[in-house]
Amino acid sequence: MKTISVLENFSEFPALRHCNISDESGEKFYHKVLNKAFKEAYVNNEKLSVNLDATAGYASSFLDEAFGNLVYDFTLDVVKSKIEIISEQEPHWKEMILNQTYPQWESRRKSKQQPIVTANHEAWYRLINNELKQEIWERPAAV
Amino acid sequence: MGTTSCCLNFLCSLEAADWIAIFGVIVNAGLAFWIVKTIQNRLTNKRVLKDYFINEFKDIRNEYKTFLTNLYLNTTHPQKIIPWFKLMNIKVDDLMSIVNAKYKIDEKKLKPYQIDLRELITNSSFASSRNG
Repeated sequence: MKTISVLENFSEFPALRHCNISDESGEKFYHKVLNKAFKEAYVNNEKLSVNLDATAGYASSFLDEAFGNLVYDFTLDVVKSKIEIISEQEPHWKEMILNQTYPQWESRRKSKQQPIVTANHEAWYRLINNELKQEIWERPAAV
Repeated sequence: MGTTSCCLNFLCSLEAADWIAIFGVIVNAGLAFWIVKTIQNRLTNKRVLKDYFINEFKDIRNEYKTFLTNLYLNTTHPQKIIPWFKLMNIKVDDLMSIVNAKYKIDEKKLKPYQIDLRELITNSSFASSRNG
């Protein structure tokens, strides 16, 4: 099992949802860390453990954006079977991700409601017909 | 000398039934004393413990009040809001789990309020505009 931790692999101070409103956003965490780590775990057919503990705390929007994008790109069944969330200090985050974020983003994926990106990101992975593809799937809307 | 011999005479004159009665009185008095003392201590301890928990909850309520006041006065640093909520949530969760073990009070009773307040504040336009 591969393990990543928000504290060690990203930041002690995770902030809000999008890159245009906060530095260490959920969007940035997804594109810089989670998407690549999950892709590695998927390719190696192993589980990915994501440790949420020991940071300064979370806004729900951070976690919703990060794990929601994951469901959007890899489908709910794949994410559920490959990921384990550790949140000992604030167990309700795990409940929120499993019971709210996952189903909401899965229905969003089915209805093809694209995630919003607010900064330019490197190409990221998405599962299309059980095949991994790496592209820049979305760009920030021009202001 | 006279008093001592008088007492000795009195004790010698007591019959077996009298001795049993005296023994009964002593045992009953001891028992009554022990019961009153123990029950009183238990009641006092229970009250002290309850007062302690009540004060802990009052302290937490005051911390929330102070936090909200500072927020409205615009004296809270935006980047301290999320860590503050984390600490408070852990504090409340710990207290509620102890209270649940002791008094069987639902430990998730305050959860919706904690979550709603944090959502209200961290997802507001205020937080979005200040958390840079």
